[in-house]
Amino acid sequence: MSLLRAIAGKARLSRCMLRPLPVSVNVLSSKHDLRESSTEESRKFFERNKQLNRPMSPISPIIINPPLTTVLSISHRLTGLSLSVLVYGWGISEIYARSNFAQQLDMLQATFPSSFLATIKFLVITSFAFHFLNGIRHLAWDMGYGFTLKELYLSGYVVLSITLIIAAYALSSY
Amino acid sequence: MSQTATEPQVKERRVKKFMVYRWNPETPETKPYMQTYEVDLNACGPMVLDALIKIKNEIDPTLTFRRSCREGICGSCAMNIGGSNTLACLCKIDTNLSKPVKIYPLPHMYVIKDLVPDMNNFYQQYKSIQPYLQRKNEGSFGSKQLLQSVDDRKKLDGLYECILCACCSTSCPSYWWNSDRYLGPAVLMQAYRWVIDSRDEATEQRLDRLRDPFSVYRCHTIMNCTKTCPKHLNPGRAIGELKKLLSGWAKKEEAELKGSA
Repeated sequence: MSLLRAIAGKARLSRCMLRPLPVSVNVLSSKHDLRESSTEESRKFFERNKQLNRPMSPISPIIINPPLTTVLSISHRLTGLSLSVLVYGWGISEIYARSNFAQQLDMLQATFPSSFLATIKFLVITSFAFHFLNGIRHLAWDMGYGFTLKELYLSGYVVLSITLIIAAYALSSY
Repeated sequence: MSQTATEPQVKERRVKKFMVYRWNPETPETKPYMQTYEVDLNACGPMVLDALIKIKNEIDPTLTFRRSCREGICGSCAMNIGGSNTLACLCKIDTNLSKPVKIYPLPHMYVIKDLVPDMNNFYQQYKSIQPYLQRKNEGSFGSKQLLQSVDDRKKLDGLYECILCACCSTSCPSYWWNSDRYLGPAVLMQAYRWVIDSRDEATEQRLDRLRDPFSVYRCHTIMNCTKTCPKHLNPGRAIGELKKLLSGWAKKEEAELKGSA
C-alpha cells in the first residue's frame, strides 16, 4: 500500500512540478512541421474571432507617432528594397540592352531634365549611405552588441547624423 | 481670524479629457468609436488606471477594461496610452490639460469589449515553448534542491521578471502580420529564459522547436519591444541571443554547479 502511494505521489509531483522530457513526442509530432503554416491552436483562434466578428484593434496609435526604432527599421527596408530594385533591375536589363552603358547615360541625360537626374542621384546617395550605416548597426546586433535602449538610440542618432552629413555634402557638391 | 482660514478651500478644477476606444459586442452594428470623458485631476489619483477606475465608478459603468494589482506586477491593464503600449497603472497622467489622453486596446488584437483584447493566441504561444523546468532523469522531486551557482542564477535576471502583459509583442509589426506563426518578443524571451537556465536539460529540444523560418526569424530587430516594455526589460536582446544560439554562433555555457543537494 505504502509503495503504491509513494509511486502515485511521485507521479503527481512530477506532473505538477518537473515534467519529464517528452523527447519522442517532440521528434515525432507533426505539430511542429517547420511552422510552414499556422499551428492548429492558432488557426482555431483566428477562426473563432472571425466568426464572432470582433474588430481588430487599430495600429494607428503607434503608426501615427512612431518611435525612432520603427522609423529606422522601415527606412532600412525601403532603402534596401529600392536600391536592390535599381541595382538588380538595371543590372539584369543590361543583358538585353542594345546600347552600351555610356550611350545609355547620354540617352538619360537627353531625355530627362538635369534637375530630375540630380534629384535621383541625391536620393540614391542618401539611401545608400543610410542603408550601409544602419546595416552596420544590424550586423552588430547579429553579433549580440548594442541592444540596450541607450545604445539603440545612440547608434540610431549617429546613423542619422552621418547620413545627414553625407546628404549635405552631396547637396553642396552640385 | 485671518481671511485665508475662513475661505473655503476650493481648488480650481483641473479637467483633463480622456478619449477611450469603445466597442460593444452586444451592438456589433455600431463600429468602434472614441468616447471622451472629463475627469477632474484634483479628485483623481495620479495614474491613468486611477482615471479609468474613476470614470467607471462615477461616470460610465459600462466602460470595460482589465485591471488587478494596480502596481505593475500582474500585467492586466496593458493598453495603448498616448501612442505607446504600457501598463495603465504605471503610466502617469500627463498634467498638460490642453491635450486629451488617447487610450486604445493593445494594437492589432481582436477586441472582446472596449479595452479588453483576446489574449488566447498569446497564451497558447507561451504554452508551446513549455515554460517549465525539464530534467533528463526524474529523480525524486521535492526531496532535494537543484544546485545553481550564483553566476548562473544571475543569467536569469532581466528575463524572469516578465509579467506577460504583451505590451512588447503587440508593439511589434512582425507580430501584427504574423502572430499565427511568429511567437513574438514576450514568448521568445521566455523561451530564451528556459534555454539558458543552467538547471534545465532540454536545451537542444527547446532550440530545435524554434528552428523554422517563422517562430524566431520573423524578428527583424525593429526593437519596438525593448522601447515599450513597461518593466524595462529587453526582449530584443533575448531574441538576439536566441538567434546566436540557434545559428551556432554561441553555445550555452556549462552549468557551474550540477546535481542536487
